[in-house]
Amino acid sequence: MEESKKPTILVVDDEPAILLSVKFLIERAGFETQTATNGTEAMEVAREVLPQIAVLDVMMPGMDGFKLAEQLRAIDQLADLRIVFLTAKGTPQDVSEGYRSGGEVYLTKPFDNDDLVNTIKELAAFG
Amino acid sequence: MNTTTVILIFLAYLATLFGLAGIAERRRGKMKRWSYAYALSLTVYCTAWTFMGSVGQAANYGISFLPIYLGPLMLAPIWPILIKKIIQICRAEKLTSLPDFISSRYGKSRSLGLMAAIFLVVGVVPYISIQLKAIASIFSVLTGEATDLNEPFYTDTTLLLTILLAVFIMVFGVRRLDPSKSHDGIMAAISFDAIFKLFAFLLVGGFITFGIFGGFGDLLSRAQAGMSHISSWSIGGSGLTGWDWFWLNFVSMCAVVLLPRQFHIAVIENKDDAEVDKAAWFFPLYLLLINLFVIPIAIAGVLLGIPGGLSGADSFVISIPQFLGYEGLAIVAALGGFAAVSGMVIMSTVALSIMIANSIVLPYLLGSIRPTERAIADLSRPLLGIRRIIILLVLLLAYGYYRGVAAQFSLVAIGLVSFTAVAQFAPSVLAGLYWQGATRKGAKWGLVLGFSVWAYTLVLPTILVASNSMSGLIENGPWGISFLQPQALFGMADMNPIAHAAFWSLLANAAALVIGSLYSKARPIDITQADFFVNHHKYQNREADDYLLRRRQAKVGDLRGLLARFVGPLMAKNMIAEFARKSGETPPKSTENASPALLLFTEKQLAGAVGSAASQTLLKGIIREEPVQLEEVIRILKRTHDAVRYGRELERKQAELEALTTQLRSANRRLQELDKLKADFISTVTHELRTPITSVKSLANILIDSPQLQGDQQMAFLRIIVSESERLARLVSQVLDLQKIEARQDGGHFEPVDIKLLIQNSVASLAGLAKEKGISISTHLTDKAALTFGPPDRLTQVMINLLGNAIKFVPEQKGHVQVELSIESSDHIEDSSLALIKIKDNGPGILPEQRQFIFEQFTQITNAEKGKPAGSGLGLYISKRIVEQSGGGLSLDSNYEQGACFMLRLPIRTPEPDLEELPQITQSNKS
Repeated sequence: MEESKKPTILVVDDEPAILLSVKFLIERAGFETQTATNGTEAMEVAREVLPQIAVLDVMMPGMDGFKLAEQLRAIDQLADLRIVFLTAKGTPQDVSEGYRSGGEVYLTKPFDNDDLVNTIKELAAFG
Repeated sequence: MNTTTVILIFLAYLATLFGLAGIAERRRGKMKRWSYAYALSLTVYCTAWTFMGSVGQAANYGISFLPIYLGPLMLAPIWPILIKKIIQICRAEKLTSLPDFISSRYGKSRSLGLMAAIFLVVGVVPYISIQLKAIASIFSVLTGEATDLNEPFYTDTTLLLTILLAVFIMVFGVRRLDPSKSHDGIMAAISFDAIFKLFAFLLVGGFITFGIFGGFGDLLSRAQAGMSHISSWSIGGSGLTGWDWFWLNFVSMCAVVLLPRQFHIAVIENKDDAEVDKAAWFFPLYLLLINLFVIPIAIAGVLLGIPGGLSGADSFVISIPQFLGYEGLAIVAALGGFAAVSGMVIMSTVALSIMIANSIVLPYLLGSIRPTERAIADLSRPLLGIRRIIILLVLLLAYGYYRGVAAQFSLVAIGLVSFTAVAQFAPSVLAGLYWQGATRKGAKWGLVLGFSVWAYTLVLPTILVASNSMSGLIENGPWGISFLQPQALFGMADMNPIAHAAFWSLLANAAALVIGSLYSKARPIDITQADFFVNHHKYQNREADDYLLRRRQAKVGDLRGLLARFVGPLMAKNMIAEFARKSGETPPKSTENASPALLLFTEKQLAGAVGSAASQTLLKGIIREEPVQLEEVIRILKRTHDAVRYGRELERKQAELEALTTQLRSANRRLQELDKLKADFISTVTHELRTPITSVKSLANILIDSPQLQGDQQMAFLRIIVSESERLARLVSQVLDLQKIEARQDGGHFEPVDIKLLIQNSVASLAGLAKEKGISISTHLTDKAALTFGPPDRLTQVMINLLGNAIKFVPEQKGHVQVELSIESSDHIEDSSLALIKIKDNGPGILPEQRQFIFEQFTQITNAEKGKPAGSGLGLYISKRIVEQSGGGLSLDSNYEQGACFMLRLPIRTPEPDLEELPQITQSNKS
């Protein structure tokens, strides 16, 4: 069991304010966080810290969240990465594209703080 | 020989013809016609002109009689091909005469049929009249009495025989309504004529050559001495040139097909192709045989010194035996001549009567009856009566012509005038059969011009000579214009008159046909008929469906009523029932719409009876005819490359349609694009609104459920909430701005704006912010007055937006923004100079790949050093829209590399007099 070590969670969003609140919420729930503001940066961070869970925005300049998810999954060491999409894009097509690209949970902005925290906790428990 | 005996002999011959015709009519339908009847009947081509005139011609001019037979002989190889095509078309369309054929080919034009019929009557009646003249000369030879044209007509035996012939024709030539049904009685009589005239000619020729003289060689060697007026038996010796020969041959070629009697026998009386094939060798052979003794008889006549000499040479065939005392042989020869006459007269008259009735009288008659009465009138009996009256009239007309004019000319001369007239139909018939582009107008022009030239060059001189008047016109031309001399047009004086007329009339005719066709427009029915004639092969075996695409509707009852008027009600009923039975259907009810096949059937039955033009008129009364469908025309055009003009028109229409479609398509695409833009815009706005809401909501909730949060962190969260709320408010107001601008709602308060002042005010309002950040702003403005016209507040908003962006991106403390104003004036266009405002900064600049997007909605430039700029991504887009609405433009100067350089162009408006003071006033206000 790896319970001794707190799971690391990667949070990617191009909005500093959102990044700030998500980071605060997750850390308060007892997890480690690493943040990035775009896809390229996220890939670098992920290779370095090998997170268990990633919380991804979708609409970002450059690489979008769906693409980022696929690329993260392509990293060998991240085969078990659980992905949560946290996005303002909420149409059914967006949701299904999210699941296709490897996401497990799809939360829409503006999100509920407790929902986000509970989701992370569940994913961490069953990871 | 006394006159009574001669008349009795002729009557006996006529009685024989009556008998034969009667027998043939009774056997009609029960037994197959004698297979040589068709070929023999065709030899009505050989008239009294052949039987007697050839000898006269040979005695006077050597072999110049030959072209009349050489033409048909040369045509013989292709004659079956040509005639079979015509037969098939005429059978399919139930055409009954040459005018009918022409009218049908050229869009069922009634006027063309009428014209053709009149031309043919005018051309052919003189020809009949010379046959009557032949009867007179036969009489005078046999009885030894000179023909006296001064004796009253009622004692004239020629008139008597003419009337007897008329009676024969009226009895046997008009037996049934449908002239497209063969006249077996007439055919039998003519076949007998054909055999008899050949027999008589060979008998006389053989007797003279071998009985009186010592064979051909003997005669020819004696001719050298006795016929000094003929220099040699060659073309040159005939007094004709090769060019003359060509035209005489050509005219004869045309005549053997197009003469009404030839056309009638060859086409209308034809029963099957086998008859054509038989005639193809039999007819030329007959021509050879009947010419065998022409020269020997001519030589013999001259050598024997027959009384009357060369001028009586037309009668040598009879006068030689008579002179030598062989009365029996003379009578056989005379009867042979009469056979040639009767055959020709009978067939010509029958053909003319059908033609006149169907193409001239009936259309006129039907036109004069009101449509309502048309439906009741029984036309069957009057129709037959009309034809009989026409026969009588034609013969009387011919007799009158003979008494008036023809007596003064030789048989050959008038015959050739007729040939030339008939040859005028060659261009329109040939073009009709083989050139799809030939149109009604072309055919009309050709015929009219051809006949005019024919009349001017041949008929006019004939009449002038006959009436002994105005001979100056022939010699010097009208009004003394020599190149208009009727027999030497444009100086062609050395030609034989017939060849001369044929050349000019056919040239004019063919040229008019071609030019007229190229420069006239075809109606749909012209095109369908042209296709039906020219590409006839493709319609065979599929008449009912393909050919009959013409969409017409008529009630069965109406059709029956129409038929009944020509064949009687009972027959009409039977015909329709029979037709239905044959096509395997139950007889249709009166109220039903007739099937296309039944409609066609009725049309053909009617056409057979009254001609295609009249049948069209009749049917029009009861048929609801939809115009020929475009697709049918297109279908035809697809398969042929002719009918170019129509094709061009279609192409033009199609091009118009395509252009319209393209416009519609692009308009549609534009709409779709706008739709998508709108959807994208809404989705983007939603996203942009959600983002600040998300952080505000999330952070506020954190603050609520985290009372233990430290003061500075609380403060930081609250600041973010405030700034995000501001962002939200800004975004909302910009979206509203944008919506207003797009809807042009604030386009109303345009006013003169001083650009310099605009720049100065904007710079002044941002001076505080710049100073705070340690950023310098400098301005370089032109000295010239720069006044534009636009919404002042909006333009200020644009300036502030651009300056604000620059301040946002340049590094703090060492940042520098420069505003330049210059005037770009155009040399070419007055009053079209632009104010150019450049806003340059020393920031990071805009990446080349971003340049094309920055003016689009929600495009934000991220600054690597400073993080995400606080902006909605709408500012530049809104600015650009405002500037464009003021008639200017906003763009990037891609050549500037020290940072970003925006270029704002605004049109310079020359200040109105009352506005002239404006800049100074505001300037002074500022200072």
